[in-house]
Amino acid sequence: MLKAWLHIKSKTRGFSSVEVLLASTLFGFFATALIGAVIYGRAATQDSGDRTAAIMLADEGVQAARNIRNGAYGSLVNGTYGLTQTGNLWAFSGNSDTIGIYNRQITIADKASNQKQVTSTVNWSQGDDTKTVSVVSVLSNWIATIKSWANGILAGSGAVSGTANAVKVATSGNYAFTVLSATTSNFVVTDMSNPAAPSIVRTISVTGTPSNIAVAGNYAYVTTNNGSGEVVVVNIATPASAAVAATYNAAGTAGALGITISGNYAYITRAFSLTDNEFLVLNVTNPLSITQSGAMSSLASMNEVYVAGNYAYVAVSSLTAPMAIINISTPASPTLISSFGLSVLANALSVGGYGKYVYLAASYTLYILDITNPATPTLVKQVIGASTINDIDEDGDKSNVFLGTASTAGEFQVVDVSSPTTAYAVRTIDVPGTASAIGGVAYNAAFDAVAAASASDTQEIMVFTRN
Amino acid sequence: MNSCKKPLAQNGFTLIELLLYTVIIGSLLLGVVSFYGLAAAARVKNQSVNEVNLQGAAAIDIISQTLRSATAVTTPATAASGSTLTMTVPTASLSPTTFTLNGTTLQVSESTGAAVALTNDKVRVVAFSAKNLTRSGGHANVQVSLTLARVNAGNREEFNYQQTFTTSAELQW
Repeated sequence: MLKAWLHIKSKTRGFSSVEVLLASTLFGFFATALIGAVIYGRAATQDSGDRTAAIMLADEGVQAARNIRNGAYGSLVNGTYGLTQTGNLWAFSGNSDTIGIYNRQITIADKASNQKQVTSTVNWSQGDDTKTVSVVSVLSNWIATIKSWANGILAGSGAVSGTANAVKVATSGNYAFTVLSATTSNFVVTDMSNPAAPSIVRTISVTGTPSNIAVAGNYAYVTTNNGSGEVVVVNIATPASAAVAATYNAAGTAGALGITISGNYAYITRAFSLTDNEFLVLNVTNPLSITQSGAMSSLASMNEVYVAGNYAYVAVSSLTAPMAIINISTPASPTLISSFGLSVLANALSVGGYGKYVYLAASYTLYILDITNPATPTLVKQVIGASTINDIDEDGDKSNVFLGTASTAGEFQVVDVSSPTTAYAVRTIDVPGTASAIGGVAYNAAFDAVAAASASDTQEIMVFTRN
Repeated sequence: MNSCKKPLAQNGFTLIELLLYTVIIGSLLLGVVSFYGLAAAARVKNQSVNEVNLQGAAAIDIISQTLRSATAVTTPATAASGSTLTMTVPTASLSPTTFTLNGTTLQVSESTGAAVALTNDKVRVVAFSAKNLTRSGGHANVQVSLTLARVNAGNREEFNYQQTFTTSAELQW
């Protein structure tokens, strides 16, 4: 057997070229893998060392920016910079700086009001690779004075030609939509993105004399005294080219006075009429084709409405029952569940609310009511205004209620309701002129400002801000 | 017996073949041994780099943390730089805290306590400097630069590693 094997072996002695090729290829693979492991291992070690130093340099960038901020917040101007030391002080210079093998860039961008985001990026190259580490931090202008409504000001105003009084206003995005007590040129769109200089971008006419306005989505809903077209729908998708899109005629001829939009429904309040319904629930799923879902009659004019959950709270011209509470859980059949009276006889002109509180403006007084139990509100606090309160609006979680009054010396007031039981008028502003009563106010969350509609002939549109 | 002798005599290794095999095995062994040496050197180099990096990072961390919580920098004076950094810290029993270079070791001392080494005997501090960049109005910022190298008495490549760590800290008191 052995002999036979050796014999064959001796006959086929030597390697074929295929075998040699195979063997050298295999050897090549192993050698490459092993040498690669050593080379990459070294590169990784080198990288970890360089990275440690790079992170420190990036951190230094943020610390230097902090130092520059501490010197003057105004020195943090948006852009990309390098760092340098001028007169032994940190300063920005050029658009990058080099430390040994490292290149550093500091990028400053706006984060929020009085806040800048600082990104410190360090780059270095290793072989053909560029490595990067970034450190991000936010620096605040902590020394800035916090603006308050306690020092609120009339920031700017706009005039509408003619002598018509502006009555109500609503806001959406950059714009305020004001309605005037006139039969023509009675719907005005104002760009209030610069509160100091509100500019009128559009004036149109809606049929009838407007009484109130609400905005939802791409449409503004204007209530008017026109008995054959109580609600006018204005397309405001492009505010500068706002145009009447539809008109809704409610049964009867009583003029509409107030409106609130909630979900797919609009809640309309109307002037008293023996024959007509004063409270309407309209389906506005399609704003161009509004239909009535339900209605309810009342014994007095209903001025404004605020909706919270399944209940509508209505400000009523009734000395004994100035607030009506209506169950609207079934849109087809709104039901009066209680009438709320005050300790004094007063008509209510406006109503609003936030969370578990309803704010009711009756005569000179703002009543803060707890509606934890919707049917039986409890009086939490009353705040006396400068004169008859025409309209109110609130800024929600910032806890202020804004009043537009008929006073000649305190047309605009701010009530701090952060602690409802101790709510108080934190600011009263006397706007120029004695015939400038404010009929409508609307808070604009985008600018933390309030747009107002005034009876003044020179500044029908006003913008109030914190200061 | 006879029948066995003949084939054996014809099938032994020639001298050339033996030489060839010896050379092949020798070069393979050489490759394996030198690769092992390379790997061992890489491991040592790795350790050296880590030693320097970890100690550098730890020292810089301690210095910048102390700086950030310090109330004032006493040495170096504003706009000056030096190899001793002394600051007043809020905890009276630790104040002043001083970082200084003693030979090739970075040391820290708190109040009147004995100096404690921040770096061990495997690395040496090549350079340590602190620069006081305090801005008028008292906004103190100190730039710290620390260069560490692996102790390398035999001047061997695998121990040859040096790194400079530079950072700044703003006093936030």
